[in-house]
Amino acid sequence: MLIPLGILAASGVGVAGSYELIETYTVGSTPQASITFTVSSYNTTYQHLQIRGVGKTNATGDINGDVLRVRLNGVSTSSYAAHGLYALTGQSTPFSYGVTSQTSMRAARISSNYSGTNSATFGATVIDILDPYEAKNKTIRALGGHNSVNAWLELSSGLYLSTDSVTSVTLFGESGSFIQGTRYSIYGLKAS
Amino acid sequence: MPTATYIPLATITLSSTDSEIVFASIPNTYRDLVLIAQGTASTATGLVFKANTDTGTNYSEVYALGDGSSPASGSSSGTSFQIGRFDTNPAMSITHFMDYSATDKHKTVLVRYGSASVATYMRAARWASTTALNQITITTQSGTFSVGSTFSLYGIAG
Repeated sequence: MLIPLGILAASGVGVAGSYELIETYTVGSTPQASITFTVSSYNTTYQHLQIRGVGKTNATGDINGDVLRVRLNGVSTSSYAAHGLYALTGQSTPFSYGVTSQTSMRAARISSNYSGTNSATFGATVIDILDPYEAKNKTIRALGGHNSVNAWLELSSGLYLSTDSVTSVTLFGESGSFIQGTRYSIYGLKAS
Repeated sequence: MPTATYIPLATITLSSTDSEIVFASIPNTYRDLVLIAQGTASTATGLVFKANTDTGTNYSEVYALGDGSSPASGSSSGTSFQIGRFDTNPAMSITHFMDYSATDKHKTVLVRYGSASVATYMRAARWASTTALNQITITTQSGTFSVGSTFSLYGIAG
């Protein structure tokens, strides 16, 4: 069955209001060590936040790409924990990890400038930050992956051990800076 | 100023069985697309994705699954990749096509899907083309999609 979308879809007709784009950041020609979204002013508007995007860093040392990491409120003390399930090229069973006392949270792997990586290949990630403004420790979930020289797929669950309201979300590469074409957008989800 | 998004572009609910679903003429005015599929099929089958009219070996993927006894993973490349799996029991999948209209990037796709009677899956895939994605074709590997199966496409601003 063929569904031609055409003019109706292009006009953006649809139900509005509960899921909103807050901000998009696209890296230009100068590599960026990190991307920070300030979200303090949305504490009475949204119940949850979601970050969506594609990324690539100028790291060169790992055939599996670079690791996308997250910090909340600029906190870089040992306040984070995470568990993850991942799969990669050449492996017939997935792997897992569990870490505590981390200075940031691991989200997923993205593409990098490892030798042989196609310049047009990026890694995609969707990150959910649940109840960021509530007086509870913060839960983050991410799904991401890329198909570069090696392919990598990861599902992670993270914890930020603080009941403080989230005022900012910072993304950065573990081994390199984001390069041109990297794009992350943050969205707010309203409660009913 | 926040912008309301997650716009429903098209939904099809099958009134007769079919082995192919096509969303054509997808506008390039969004950042990402999200496809939600829910339904059954005449037999166990993957939902096979092709972009535009590309039948070349431009598709690659890495996946992992858990069926309650034997977790497995793998990677491959070829002329398509899967974005779900249906069988005679209800199943669903959510597929994210990221930066689908970008002409400076290959298209990265993230998928989560599963059926309670079979397994849960996740996938990261790539369509190695810098052409904007303007058509999504989903076909069965075997059999047909059943009456009542739904396929919904959403556009997300960014």
